[in-house]
Amino acid sequence: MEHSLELAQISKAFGKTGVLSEIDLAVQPGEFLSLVGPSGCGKSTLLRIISGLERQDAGQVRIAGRTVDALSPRARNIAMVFQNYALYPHMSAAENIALPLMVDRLSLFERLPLIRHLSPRRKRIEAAISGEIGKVAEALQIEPLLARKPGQLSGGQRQRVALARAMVRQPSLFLMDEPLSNLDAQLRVHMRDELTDLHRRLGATFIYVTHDQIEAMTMSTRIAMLDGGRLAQIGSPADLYERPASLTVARFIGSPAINVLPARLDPQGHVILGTLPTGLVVPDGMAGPVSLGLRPEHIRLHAACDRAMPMATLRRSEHHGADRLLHLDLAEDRQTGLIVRIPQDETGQFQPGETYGIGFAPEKAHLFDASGLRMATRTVPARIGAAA
Amino acid sequence: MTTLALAPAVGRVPRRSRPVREWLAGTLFVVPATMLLLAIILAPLLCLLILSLTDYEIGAMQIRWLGLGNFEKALSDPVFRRAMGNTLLYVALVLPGGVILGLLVALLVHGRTRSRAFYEVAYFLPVTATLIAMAAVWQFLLHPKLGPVNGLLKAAGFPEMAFISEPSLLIPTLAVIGLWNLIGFNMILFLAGLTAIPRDLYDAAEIDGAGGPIDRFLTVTWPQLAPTTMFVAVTTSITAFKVFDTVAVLTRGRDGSEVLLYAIYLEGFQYFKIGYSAALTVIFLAFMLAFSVFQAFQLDRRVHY
Repeated sequence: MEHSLELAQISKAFGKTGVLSEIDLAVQPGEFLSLVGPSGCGKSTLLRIISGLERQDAGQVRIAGRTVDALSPRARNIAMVFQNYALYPHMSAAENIALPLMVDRLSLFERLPLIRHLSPRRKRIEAAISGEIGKVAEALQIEPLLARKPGQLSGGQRQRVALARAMVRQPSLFLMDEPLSNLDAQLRVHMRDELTDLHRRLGATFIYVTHDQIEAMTMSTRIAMLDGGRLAQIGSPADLYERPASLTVARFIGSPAINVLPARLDPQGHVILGTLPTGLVVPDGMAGPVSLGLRPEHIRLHAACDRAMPMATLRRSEHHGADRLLHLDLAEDRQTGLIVRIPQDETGQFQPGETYGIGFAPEKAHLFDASGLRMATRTVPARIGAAA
Repeated sequence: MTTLALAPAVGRVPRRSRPVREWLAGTLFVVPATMLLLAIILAPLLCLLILSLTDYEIGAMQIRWLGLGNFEKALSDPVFRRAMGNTLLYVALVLPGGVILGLLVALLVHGRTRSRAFYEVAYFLPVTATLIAMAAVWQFLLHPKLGPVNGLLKAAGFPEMAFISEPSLLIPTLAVIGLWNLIGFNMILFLAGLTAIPRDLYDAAEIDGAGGPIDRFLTVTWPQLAPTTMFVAVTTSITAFKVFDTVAVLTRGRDGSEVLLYAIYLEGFQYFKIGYSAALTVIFLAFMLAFSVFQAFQLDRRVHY
């Protein structure tokens, strides 16, 4: 099957600042692909290159099997939803939605003020357009709002009008540039739901830029994470969460963030935390410092323990509804904080100020080398705190 | 409320009620500003209104009350009627010219990146130049025999034009000089308006297919500039209405080229007919007021789309 979007070796620099380098990406029809990454990672620039608003320095963009590098945004048959909605403030919602079709179907003269009344076919075309607007408006439930100007609409309503303007052209590709970031938290959760639903109903390909990993995790079929202008990892939300390719990905995906503990490899390839072996082994690993990543829900705290294990002091305990987040300080150096997620019903046993032993299942741990890349590990029986 | 509750406890006589005290304090705060407003704006205006109803002349021994006599006289005074007509013609030339050319220059300058600062300064220079001094330059430029403008016209095979002596050309010539003086200012206002247009809108227009220059101007730039344009139009008309210095220096009102302010100046400061000149000023102010009210109303309506 033809790819909906294909990027080959896309590079871009602004002056001397490199923004993107050699991005390769292929998106299947009907995918919901999120481009995530911290601010300045180049995700918005990549979206603008796909849309044609920005021109890449090197590489190729193919949309639906067609190379579009020389085409204007309009000719690429894409639609874009902007962070600030970018609705024309002097036009009503209906006029905003109609604009792409008007430009498409009427000549410049048929759109000019006054002169347009001379065109005999204008009325007929406008009637057809208004029918299509009605359908889109119905799908997004904004019919009562069509006569209003953007200034008279709430953030969520504006977002829906912007979506309608994108949908009305029936584009092959929907590009969205942080469309939910201007909404309040509650509405954002609601719109997340609506967007996913819309994606399912339309069956169209969505490219969605966000800096919010929760949005990416909850909505996408696949996530492409950019870091410093490079593609750090691409995969399903579960891939990125369970098998992060680098420390940056591990730290970006997941809330609260992953715990990263300094560890080292001994000459035999055993991962040593402090002075204790962890039960993790890196086959033919070189001795040296490594980072051990532990998701908050994968750490077990042990009240009294005769086995040797790292110790941490409970500083604060936070109520998060079903879960509780425990903030601890590692005993040996008070610098390294540790966050542990436990179910609400286990909280009674833990008191602030007390010291607990840290345990984890080695197969749940992530190991990264000194340059932050994921290392392949296997487990051996000698492990610490593995009782849980 | 706390103060009230505390008052008896401290053993003081219950003070005036809170609303009265607040009213008193508020009034006291407003008094200085009100006095200034009265002294420097409203009182002189009142003087003007009273004078306009009399036949006061500087050095006259007695004043007569004329009622609306001065205004009646103005309506039948050929000089005033000519001045009025000339001023309206001047505004009719300068207003559209100033708005359209100012916008055009702003659009061109806005598109520059590195040379933008140079063009901004260049176009703004005439605004800072003293029109009286520059009028001398214009007089030379437009001189029928010596001026380079006529030199060019002759070289191109046109007959020479007496810009500053041919009566029918006087007001258009003054209007061109007025435009020269004004465009830089309008350009700055339009540039400010252009800078404030969100980039997103242009991006959206491009995605929607309205990325061509005319479409972009009609869908984004022009509607977004509507409030700026209204403001520029009103300030331009007010400035045009106040045309005085070029007339005073270049034509001195000869050959029927008087304008409103020049007529007022002649009556008041050359013939010392203060009463009549005050009446003309009242008419002038009425026009200004109309423009200002129109502006306030329009801007209010336009700001929230």
